[in-house]
Amino acid sequence: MTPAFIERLALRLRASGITACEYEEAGARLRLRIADDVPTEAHAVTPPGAAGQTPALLDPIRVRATGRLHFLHPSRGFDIPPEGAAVTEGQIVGFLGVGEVLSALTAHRAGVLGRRLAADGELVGFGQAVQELR
Amino acid sequence: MFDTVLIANRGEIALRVLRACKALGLKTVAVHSEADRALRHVTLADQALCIGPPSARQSYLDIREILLAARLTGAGAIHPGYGFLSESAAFAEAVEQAGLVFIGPSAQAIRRMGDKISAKAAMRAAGVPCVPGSAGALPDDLTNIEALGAAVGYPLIVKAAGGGGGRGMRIVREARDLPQAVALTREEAARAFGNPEVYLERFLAHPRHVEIQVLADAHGNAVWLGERDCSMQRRHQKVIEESPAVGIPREAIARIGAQCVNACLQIGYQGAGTFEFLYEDDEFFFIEMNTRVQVEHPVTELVTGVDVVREQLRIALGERLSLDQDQVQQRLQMCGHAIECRINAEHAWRFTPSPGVVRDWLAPGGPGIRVESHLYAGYEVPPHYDSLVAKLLAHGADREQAIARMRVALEELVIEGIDTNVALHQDLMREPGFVRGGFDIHHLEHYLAGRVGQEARA
Repeated sequence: MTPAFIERLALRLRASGITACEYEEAGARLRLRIADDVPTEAHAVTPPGAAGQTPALLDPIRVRATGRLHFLHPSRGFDIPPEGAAVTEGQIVGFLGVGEVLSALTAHRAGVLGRRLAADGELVGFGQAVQELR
Repeated sequence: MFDTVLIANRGEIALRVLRACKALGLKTVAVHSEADRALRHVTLADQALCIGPPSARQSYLDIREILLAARLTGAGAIHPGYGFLSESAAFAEAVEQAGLVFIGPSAQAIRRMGDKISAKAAMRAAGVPCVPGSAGALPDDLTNIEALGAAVGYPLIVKAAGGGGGRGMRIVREARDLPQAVALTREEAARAFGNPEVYLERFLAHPRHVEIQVLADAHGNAVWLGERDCSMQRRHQKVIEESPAVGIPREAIARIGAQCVNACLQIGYQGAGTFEFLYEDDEFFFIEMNTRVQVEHPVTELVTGVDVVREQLRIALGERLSLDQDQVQQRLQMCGHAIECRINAEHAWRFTPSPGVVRDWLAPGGPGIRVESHLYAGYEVPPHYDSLVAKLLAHGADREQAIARMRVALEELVIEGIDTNVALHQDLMREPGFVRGGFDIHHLEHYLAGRVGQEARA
């Protein structure tokens, strides 16, 4: 089971209008769910604090994988909350793309989204702060 | 070919590789851990990407993350530096399979030379002298093992095929101790290296460590770039390296150098490499080959004028070596003497690591002085990695001048905020054994033991 295989499977599901599937092979089990409002993976981490910083900078939303940041879903419309919007814990605030595979970037706690610290389409690395969260 | 190189390493060697890339007009990608965001080469690279937390296993040793970073940044080649994944055949293979260029030898060559038994077999076949010992892995049968031991003679040493850096070996002084030594080393080797194979060879009591630097391209050209004497060691870790080696006839060096070149051609080796030898009683004995650039490569650069990292990059680009053996020989006759002191972030006498913030850093200068370091004032040496923070090199018309310049440079060097081993180097530059030259690999351990004894008596 490779990322390319999962990507093909996701595309087939989407094309056929199927919203969920489970797949098993030796030692691995995959559950895919196509939905706009369910995060597939939590990517936010809580960084160590630093004296003298504002709460938003103390605890911004960070990615914990390497990839290309998307504040818009590249293949279809998806409502990403804008700066200033209130978000709940686990709410999708962006996507991280590696090739055609996207993972959801979610808020690690409830709060109000602040300034975006990385641009749409930017290559981001592990631990990078991408949006303030007040 | 490629125009962008991903540097899969950190510290001074990452900066060294970055500079060589830039000088060749190649773009650079620095991948780094969270602890290394402030490294100099990360700032200087065309692109930088954090690939994981401070743990080397989750960053600099994570093949998947490094390949992903290469894909995302459009890098066409990966330079592994030294340490980390530089001698991992699996990494080289993964890079090749990803359609990228591994700046180093093929995975097959790394695999072959990484196993001490197959490496020795290849060297014997190429006519390179090896320490007398078992032809391959020891058999299971105890009678055969005892017969091999008797043929080699005592004392002998039992070594793990997959070992290195002083690990996985046991000295046997009498025949009656051999069975237990073999059993214990096998057990340790299986646990530590995943390979229980062991072999035995003659134990050399007072050897020197002398190594030959080679370069080989894809067009059937190979050269040897003189030797380095790396006998000043503590716990198998090199502390000072120099070239040329004091007191070894140039004809003997030339003979072994030519044999190394021959071996490169026979095994189809490409890239930079180092053949390591023990030297005792006027004989060289091959111990292992390092299939990467060495920490101490600048010593060779100073006495040959050859930029080893630049050559690595050119070879990976499919170009021919920039000089032939005759040109190397001419340079070696004119290029004086070079010494390198490894500056570590550790207490000079207790050798305890000393991570922390470098409050002040002033590098020495003057004729013949070269400094390779990633340090700057305010930089924090992280606790997660090797303690090497700088390499201080002195070059002179002869050894005496090189030592004199090194003494001055060590006095000038300012590193505040962390402990370093500068005081050890200052002592060694005036220590009679070092000044005389030609010491064996146990010299530093004896010197340090004597120093402790003096302190105890005082």
